[in-house]
Amino acid sequence: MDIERAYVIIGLLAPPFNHEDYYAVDLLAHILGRGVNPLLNFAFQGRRRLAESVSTRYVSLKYGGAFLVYLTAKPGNIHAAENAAIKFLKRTRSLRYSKKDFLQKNESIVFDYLESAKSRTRLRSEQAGEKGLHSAVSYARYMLLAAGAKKMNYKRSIHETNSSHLRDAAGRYLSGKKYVVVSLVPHKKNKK
Amino acid sequence: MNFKNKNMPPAAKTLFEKRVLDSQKLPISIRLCLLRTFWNLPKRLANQKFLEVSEPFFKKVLTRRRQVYILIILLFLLVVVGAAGDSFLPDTAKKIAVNDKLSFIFCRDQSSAVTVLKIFFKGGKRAEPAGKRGLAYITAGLCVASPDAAIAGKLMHSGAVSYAEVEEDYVLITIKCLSDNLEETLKILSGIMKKPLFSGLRINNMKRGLKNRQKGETEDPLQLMNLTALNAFFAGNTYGGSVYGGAASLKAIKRKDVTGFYKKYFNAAGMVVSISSDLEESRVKDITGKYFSGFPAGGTAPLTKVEASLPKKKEFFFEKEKEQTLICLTALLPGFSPGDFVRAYVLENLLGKGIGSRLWRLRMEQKLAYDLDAVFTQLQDGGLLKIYLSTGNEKKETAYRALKTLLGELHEQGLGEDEFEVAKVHAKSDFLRLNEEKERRALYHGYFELMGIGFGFVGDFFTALDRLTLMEMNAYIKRVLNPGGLAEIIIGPKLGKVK
Repeated sequence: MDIERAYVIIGLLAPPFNHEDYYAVDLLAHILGRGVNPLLNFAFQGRRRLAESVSTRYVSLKYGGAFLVYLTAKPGNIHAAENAAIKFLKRTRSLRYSKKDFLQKNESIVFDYLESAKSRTRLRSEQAGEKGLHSAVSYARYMLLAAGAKKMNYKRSIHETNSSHLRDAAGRYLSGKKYVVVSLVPHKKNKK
Repeated sequence: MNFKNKNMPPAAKTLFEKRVLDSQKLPISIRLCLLRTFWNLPKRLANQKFLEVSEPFFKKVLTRRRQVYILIILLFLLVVVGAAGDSFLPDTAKKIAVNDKLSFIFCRDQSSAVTVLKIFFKGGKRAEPAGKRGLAYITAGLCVASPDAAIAGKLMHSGAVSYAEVEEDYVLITIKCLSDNLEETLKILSGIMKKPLFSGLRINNMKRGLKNRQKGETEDPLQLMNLTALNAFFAGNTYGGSVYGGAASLKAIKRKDVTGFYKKYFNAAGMVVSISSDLEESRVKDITGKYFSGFPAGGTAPLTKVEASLPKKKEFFFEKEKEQTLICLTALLPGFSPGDFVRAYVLENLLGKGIGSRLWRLRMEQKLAYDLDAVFTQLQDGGLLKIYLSTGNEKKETAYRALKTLLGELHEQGLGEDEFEVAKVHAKSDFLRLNEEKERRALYHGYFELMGIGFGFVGDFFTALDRLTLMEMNAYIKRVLNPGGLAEIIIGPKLGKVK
């Protein structure tokens, strides 16, 4: 394509809107690819700086969902970045996301990714309530997708999600062998 | 539709009752429609001769006494909705002085448990020394970047969001957090802002990030369009050039430049703080005073006036292999004043905002484009109005001609009374919708304060809009959309000559 940088999108199957794993995967999307220090950045650390930017997105629909990882990289690094990301995703089923996963003496020196994601989720949900149109879209979406399903309380469910839930969900959706990769690379004339 | 759907979550029901059932808190768009309906009702009734009863049946039913009752009810409704209309933009913002050096604009808004801070520092891109483009961005970026992992961890835990932006006239730092975590967040971020770490390693990391952004700027047609439009009118002066700098300018930036720029512009004298929060005024005042008082007083660094000029080169073409071609005509706007801001706002709405706008005709009647818009940027010493559309490559020549004709006609014929009134209503509703969110309202408060007309202009916007006359608007259109002064930007594949 007529672009300067290379883009990689890794897609994995994820739970639908009414699934009990919805909250865990929503939090995983925050932890892995958003905020001050996305966890997925660790996949690209080191001298080579394989990816220039990383982000994640979870799309949940009534009968299915997708977990998407977006990477921007130099064209020469594209395959290495893709491999590093997939390798890291496989490790997500065994990572320690909360301070509570560590010995008490080490709690003060580790990041609490889970609490951070919960705070960000709360911030996002509060902000969505400021604009009438956003609220209307959220409620309409909820009423359509959750019709007939067990009643859910988003805030409470997010609050009750723990590190084990995240590892279980990561094991089910992010660590498998079924994924698709779409790469967009520059024309040869644009490659630098 | 049954709003009280059994599937509606409890939170939705609460919000529904809070926002919809309380007439004073009806969603802005609904209030606007209601007000317009009731405002026009007497006129409509008069036109339909509703009160001139001639049919025997109505004569019997609509006795004089009942007519009086109906009128009283209508008047009552007008008063109720009119009262809601007065609070369309319930701008309760006020300036609060913490001490003789620090004051901030505060707007209490209890729609969410979130606090938003917009911190402006006068200067921005126009304050960068020649050949050091990108300096403001590096300095501002390091003012919100955590110097070590422990601080980053604390920030992460609070869930706060902070980022820096560089505009032509100012640097803007945004902080958003849950109101419960405001003190913790400001303690961390004000500490970083007051004593940022400008190490060689961090500056180089920022430069690497900027180089990446430069690529994005040439890759994305909209970003490329914005940069080209800016350069067309402001090339060679302090507004021109990319905010991310270029290879040479980044190379020229040294650590001492960054520290010098920080000392000169990041101080209390050039700072405007705008806060929107659900917390009580006294609490916000205490926290802000505690963490923002330590900013050095500094002095106001003089900024040279920017002189815009009509471009010598007016046609810009960028060859890109894309499915669509982006066609943009850009006009230069006069420098900032309340009147010109309002006029630009109306013109933007008239041309490109939503159904019924002038550009909409190219989409609906001529099927020439799907994405179309008009966007204005008002700077202190000038501004730009970009009118653009994305069209299929096979239609680009027709679309280009149609866009030029559309603007030419508007310039020649001006606006009629009806279209002018509609554009004003659109501008009002657009402004209301934008200002529903705390973040945008805090931004506008700070922006108007920094531009020198005071934060209260957010509340005065409607009055200024109501005062605008058709004659003034047409004179503005004549001045701004002069075909000889437009710059043309086309980004897409080269399929023969466009004209």
